Amino acid sequence: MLFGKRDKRDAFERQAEKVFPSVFGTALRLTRSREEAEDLAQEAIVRAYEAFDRFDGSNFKAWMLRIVTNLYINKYRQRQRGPQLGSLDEEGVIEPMAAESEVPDRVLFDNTVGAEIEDALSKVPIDFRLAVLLSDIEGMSYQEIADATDVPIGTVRSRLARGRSMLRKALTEYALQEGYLKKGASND
Amino acid sequence: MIDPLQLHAYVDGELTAEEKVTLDAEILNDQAAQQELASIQSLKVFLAEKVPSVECKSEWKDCVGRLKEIDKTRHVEGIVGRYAWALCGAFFCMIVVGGVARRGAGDRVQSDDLAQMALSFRGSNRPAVVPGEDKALQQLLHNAAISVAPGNIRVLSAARGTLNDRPAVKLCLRDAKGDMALMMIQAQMGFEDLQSMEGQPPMYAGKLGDLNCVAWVEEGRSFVLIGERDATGLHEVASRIKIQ
Repeated sequence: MLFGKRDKRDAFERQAEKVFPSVFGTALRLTRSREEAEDLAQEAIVRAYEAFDRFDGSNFKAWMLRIVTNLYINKYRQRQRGPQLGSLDEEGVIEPMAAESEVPDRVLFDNTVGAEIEDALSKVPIDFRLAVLLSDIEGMSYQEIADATDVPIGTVRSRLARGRSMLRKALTEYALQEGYLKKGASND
Repeated sequence: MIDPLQLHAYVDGELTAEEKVTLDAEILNDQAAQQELASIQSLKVFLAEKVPSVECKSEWKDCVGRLKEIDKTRHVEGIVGRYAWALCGAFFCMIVVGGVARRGAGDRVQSDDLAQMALSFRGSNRPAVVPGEDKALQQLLHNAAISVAPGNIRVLSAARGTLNDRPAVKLCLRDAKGDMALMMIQAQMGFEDLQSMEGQPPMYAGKLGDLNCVAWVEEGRSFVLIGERDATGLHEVASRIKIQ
């Protein structure tokens, strides 16, 4: 019995260790606080360990990210007060990203460093940020994101498009502030 | 006009083969869509490549420690859970066996209990009998159903009351060697930590605080004789006290 438990923990640890950077990174980008991210990630690991018998064996990373996202939505967001910017913009028109691209992608992206990306990400409202994080950083499919965030696929598509547009805008503003882009720069 | 959501789905590989072919054809004739598609792709590649990885080795160690603790806790809970009924059963059996043994042996008292009982002796409101008031004394002794062998022992006083909520009589006695107290309790008691002595009825000797005592049971009553002399001396006096 004891050996069985030990084997189970070993199996869980082997899989969890591989995906932990994604779990912790997502937690950090959601909470924007290392301390809270540590609590969130640890709680997610404990929940996952307790439910490991029920894991269907298909995609461990998606399953873990689903747990951490659900935990964040259920627990941490309840603490937040005030209106959620994300929900206010949910039904708005999706602005094409290229239309605002007086700023050339190459210049913008080549000059942006990691810390600036994190700052720009933090400016995107949480629902949209979550969709971008799970899709573009963690490589989850629409269906997996829909399961993780408990919204329909249509909402995921819409949030993702809007989130990317907001992120690009934030990156552009950052670049303009820093001075390596000038207003009116062409796409050539 | 191409739906921008379709372009995002195209980049994310979320279109069916059929949808993809259709969209490819539409994009060919739409420069704005081509630009938009390129922009989405650039951002996606940019995020995948440039978002920094997070250092989290110490956090992972903490998680592993937590998992170990969980396993330990579960292990202990498992043992307690598995044997809870057995532990409860054993405890219950101990209580039952103890109760039966106590019932079989009657009241058992420790010497400390006896001392406590002697100290907490609650006399009746009647005044203690003064020597010489033979009638009252005889009546009291009669009620106590004992008599002290005449001779060298004098009854200084007697009082009735309760000991541990049982009817009891206390006699203060005196002989040539000094004073003693005789407690008679209307109940058969066991004397837990007193030493057994030879004689009939069986007697027990021990200490009540600083004083020696001998105790015995006779005719369903318990007697305790306390005095400032050794057990043999008390035993000798006790053997001279006869129940009427």
